[in-house]
Amino acid sequence: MSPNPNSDLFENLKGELRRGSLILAVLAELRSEKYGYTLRKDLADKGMEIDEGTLYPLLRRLESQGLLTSQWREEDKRNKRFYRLSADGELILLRLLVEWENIDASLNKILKEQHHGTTGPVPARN
Amino acid sequence: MELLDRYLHAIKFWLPRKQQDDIIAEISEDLHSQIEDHESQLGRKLSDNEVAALLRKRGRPLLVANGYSPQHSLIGPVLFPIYVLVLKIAALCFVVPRMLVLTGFFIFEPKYHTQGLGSLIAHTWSELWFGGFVTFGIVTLIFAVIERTQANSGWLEKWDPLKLPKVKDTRRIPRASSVIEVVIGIIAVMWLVELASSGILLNQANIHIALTAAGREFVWIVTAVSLFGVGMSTLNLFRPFWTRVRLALRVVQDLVLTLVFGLMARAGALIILSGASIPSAKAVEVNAAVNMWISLFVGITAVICAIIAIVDAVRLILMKTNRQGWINQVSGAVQN
Repeated sequence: MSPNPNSDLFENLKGELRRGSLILAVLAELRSEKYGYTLRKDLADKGMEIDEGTLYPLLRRLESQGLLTSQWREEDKRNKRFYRLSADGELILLRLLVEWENIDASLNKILKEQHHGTTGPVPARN
Repeated sequence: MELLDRYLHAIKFWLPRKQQDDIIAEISEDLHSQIEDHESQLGRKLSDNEVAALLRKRGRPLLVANGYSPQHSLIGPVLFPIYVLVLKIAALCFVVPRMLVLTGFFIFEPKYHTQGLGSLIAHTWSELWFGGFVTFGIVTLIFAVIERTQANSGWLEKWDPLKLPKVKDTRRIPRASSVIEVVIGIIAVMWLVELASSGILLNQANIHIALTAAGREFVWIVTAVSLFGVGMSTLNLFRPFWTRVRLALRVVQDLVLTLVFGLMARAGALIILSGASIPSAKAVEVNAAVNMWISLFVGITAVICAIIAIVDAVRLILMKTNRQGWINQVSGAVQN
């Protein structure tokens, strides 16, 4: 079976779509303190897979932007870096969530209008 | 865990110096957690091959380290299209004049006649290559400097939509230029017909200049081409839009003139100069000198015709590919 020529394009577009959502998911997940490995596992358990090469640089960037704080601490005889949302991060997260809901509502409206105008299926939402 | 240490060491090499230890400690911790997880699932230690598979999945050390580095580019996406355009123009300005000079040498300089044009081009290829490389380097360097300074200049923010260039219709032929072409063309044709039929350029008491037989033949050919040009300009006056056929005919006309002037430049004596004031002993010398200067002048005219032919041919190609002329692109890019 030949590979789907659009699969690369789809993966690129999916990556773009997920990029902003990942920041939101990481910020939301770090309302409680976690270290990198457990954060990644928790996100994966909730359906938000993220590879290490993306997560750790992202955590550093968010910390340098003042949205996260981190602390090295020993746990199970190993030093681990624990991250949590900062006070600024909490405010930004609230604003981003409002924005996210607005986008979600707008998109739903657009998709419903499309559905009424065509016979095609409306994509299933999780 | 020697394999793991080697992997971390390889990543460390590519990391920013100030953050090396901190980043490596975090990656190390993450990898140890993963390995522990796998080992507790399997109920045994992981083999070297299994650790290697895990590291392979994590990615090449350079790639992993790259994720922590700030994004750098010599020329960013904003300037890149302008950079490419300038490189194209630089290449055109660099290669075309050199090729024309080369052709000029080939036509006029007798010592080049023994070589073929192909071997002459091959001879100058290394010079062209080196010059092109230096030009590329200089343009890239200038743009790299602009890239680093333009962020603070506010250049992207300071622009006025009202100052954008007007959209030019590249197919439209200005009527004024057609009128000028027709008037000058008619005067030129009349003069050329008179010259070719009489064969006399100047006839005064002291001096007499006449065309040679070869000179008269060339003048008749130039007259015919000029007459064709007047016809084209008259048509352009009433239908002031370039069509592919008319532009192609224009290119053919330019090429014919280039060929005719080129042949004239190599034809040798085109005129005979005589007069009472010129001693017969000097007459041969004077005729040779005058004909040499005429050959040079006609040769330069051939080069100018060749440049016009190239410009018209480019316009024809751009018209076929339905793209705007590159001259408009340049003026647009500078304004935008």
